[in-house]
Amino acid sequence: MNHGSLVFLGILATLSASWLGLVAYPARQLAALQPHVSTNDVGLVVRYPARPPGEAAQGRDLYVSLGCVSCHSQQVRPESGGSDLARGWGRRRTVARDYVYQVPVQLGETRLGPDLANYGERLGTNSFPLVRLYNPRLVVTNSTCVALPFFFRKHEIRGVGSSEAIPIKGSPLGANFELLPKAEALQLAAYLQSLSTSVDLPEAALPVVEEGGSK
Amino acid sequence: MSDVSIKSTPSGSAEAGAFGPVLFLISSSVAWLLAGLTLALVASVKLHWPGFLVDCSYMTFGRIDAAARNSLVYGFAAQAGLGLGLWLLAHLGSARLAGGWLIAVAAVFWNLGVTFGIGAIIAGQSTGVAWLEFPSEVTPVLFLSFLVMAGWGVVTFCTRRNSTASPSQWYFFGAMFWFPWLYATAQAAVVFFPVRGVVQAIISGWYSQGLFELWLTSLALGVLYYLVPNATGRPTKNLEYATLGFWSLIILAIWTSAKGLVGGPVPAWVITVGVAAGVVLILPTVLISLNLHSARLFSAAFKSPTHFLLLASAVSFTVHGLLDSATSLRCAQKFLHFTQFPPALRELQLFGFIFFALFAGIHTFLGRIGVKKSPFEILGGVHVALSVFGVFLVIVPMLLGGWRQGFLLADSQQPFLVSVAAIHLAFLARTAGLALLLIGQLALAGKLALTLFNLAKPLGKPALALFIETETVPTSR
Repeated sequence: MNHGSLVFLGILATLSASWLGLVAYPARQLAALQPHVSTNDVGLVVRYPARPPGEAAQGRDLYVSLGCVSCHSQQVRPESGGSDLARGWGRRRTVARDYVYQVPVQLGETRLGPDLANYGERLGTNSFPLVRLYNPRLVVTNSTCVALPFFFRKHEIRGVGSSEAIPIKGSPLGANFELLPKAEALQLAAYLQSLSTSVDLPEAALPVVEEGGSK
Repeated sequence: MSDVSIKSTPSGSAEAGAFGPVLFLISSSVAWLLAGLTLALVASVKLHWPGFLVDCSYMTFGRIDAAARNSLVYGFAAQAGLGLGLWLLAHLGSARLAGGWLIAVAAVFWNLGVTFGIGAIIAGQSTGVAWLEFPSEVTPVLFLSFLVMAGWGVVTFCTRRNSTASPSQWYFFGAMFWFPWLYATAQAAVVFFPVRGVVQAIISGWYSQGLFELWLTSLALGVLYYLVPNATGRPTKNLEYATLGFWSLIILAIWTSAKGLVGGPVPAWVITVGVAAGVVLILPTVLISLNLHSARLFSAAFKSPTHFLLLASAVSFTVHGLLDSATSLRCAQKFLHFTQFPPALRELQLFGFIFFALFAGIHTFLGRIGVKKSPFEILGGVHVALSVFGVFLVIVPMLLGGWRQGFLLADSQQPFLVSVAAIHLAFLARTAGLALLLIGQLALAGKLALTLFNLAKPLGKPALALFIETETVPTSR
């Protein structure tokens, strides 16, 4: 192989082929994907997925900025693909439509922490336990999740104390102080609470009602 | 002990003009290597000691981890690989490296870009896209400075004296094109004008696979295809294997990108193509391995630290390639996906194959311009021993731990945290390995500093003078 021009043309051809196949074509194939529009029980038009509300959107920016994706995925594989459904990480597999509004998409590649695609749903109607963001090990002893104490501020207790203070047993701060969440903690909590994919889609239907479907 | 020495080309030292810019690229790459490994060590400690350095958002695991990965790839591997590539294109083509000081200026801008990018990741300005975490302001700086450096590499290749080109030259020549194309496409489609939803994931997978399997692999293979025959004194036999290996690698490598998305929310055909290409990628692995191992590196492994690095790099290439193809199959991906096995395999490729090849190239380059002194040999030996042992500790326990994690993760009866606890020991070993690796690099930095401040062979002055006298290097025979 003596000709530089042959090598050059080869490089050009192979790169162009993969560019057409794995960049241009998928972009074209999924370009027309739109949110699913349906009517709910009371006759209101519902779009899924919806753009997240302001506080949750700000929380998503924090999720990206902190690099949560290093340990947490946000995708549920079909039953044939792994134990995701059996673990209760979702009621159906996730599909391309679930992600139409996400920039950047945070699918994730490793699971040093559990999948979060339906984390908000697992929390149910309970409000997000903020103490988990302050120090995950106060909630789950063996957790390896990052602590975010810089999203909380120390506040001197006056009178009965703030209703927003997070409950910490044997507070390291001393008896006269409490911990209040900063705006960032509330935003991140709002985002995590908003995570859910349990919507019936034509390409990924929810399973017919099962007893104790979520763990 | 005799280090790998390079035969002078018929035209004497046409390459001498390359020494200044290449030495600058290599010196700054070693600085990034130290910075990147320090960050990687901090990130690794956090995995088994999550309470370590938590009081400040700058030190959050996700940020430190991304900063470490980007320092090692864009700071070290890119600069060292490009520097060695420019030098060897000049050396093998008996051509003068055109554009001397322009390359050095572009390299300064590259370093500024990487510095700003790493700072921005730590400050929380990451784009959140794997391997493209630097904020968009950095993109034009890196892109243009790469074009300047690579452009002169292409000119040097085109002005070579001999019309025949060796495998080493094909790979380096290709590397000058692959990076800007991959980088520009991925930046445009994922960061600047994001495409819809999961297509971002498909394209960023295309980029990261291209970055490693095509670009960095080419830089490392370019070094190996040149140094292995030099080290063993046996010219590459079976050039047809090399030709077929080159073409099959560049055709197949980048199609493997979606195999990491098995079960993911992307069109099924994308995954099928990725799995198929991943399996067929065994062809270039075998062909290139036959080339590298037919030189009987093993019998020469203890001749010098560089010889040992070449053997370690070639073995890592083969083991990584075989494991990667075997675990591309859907049945393996089903339980290995999301575990620490794929990242460990990636590190086997990056640390074991690519870094060791680049280290061998750096030692050879320093031998070419520096005076031989006894501390050189000792520092080289320390560097190689600690690096090889460190990388072994980083990778092998993690591969085994990741495998076990996969079985536990696939069994829905096992609590999730049990699957995380299964890799705790591997994380401890990884921290120890990274610490050894970092200490080993101090020896490399010491050797580099000795070269910079001692007499350089072709110049008769400290090598540091090469930075300012690129155009006045005497051509000694």
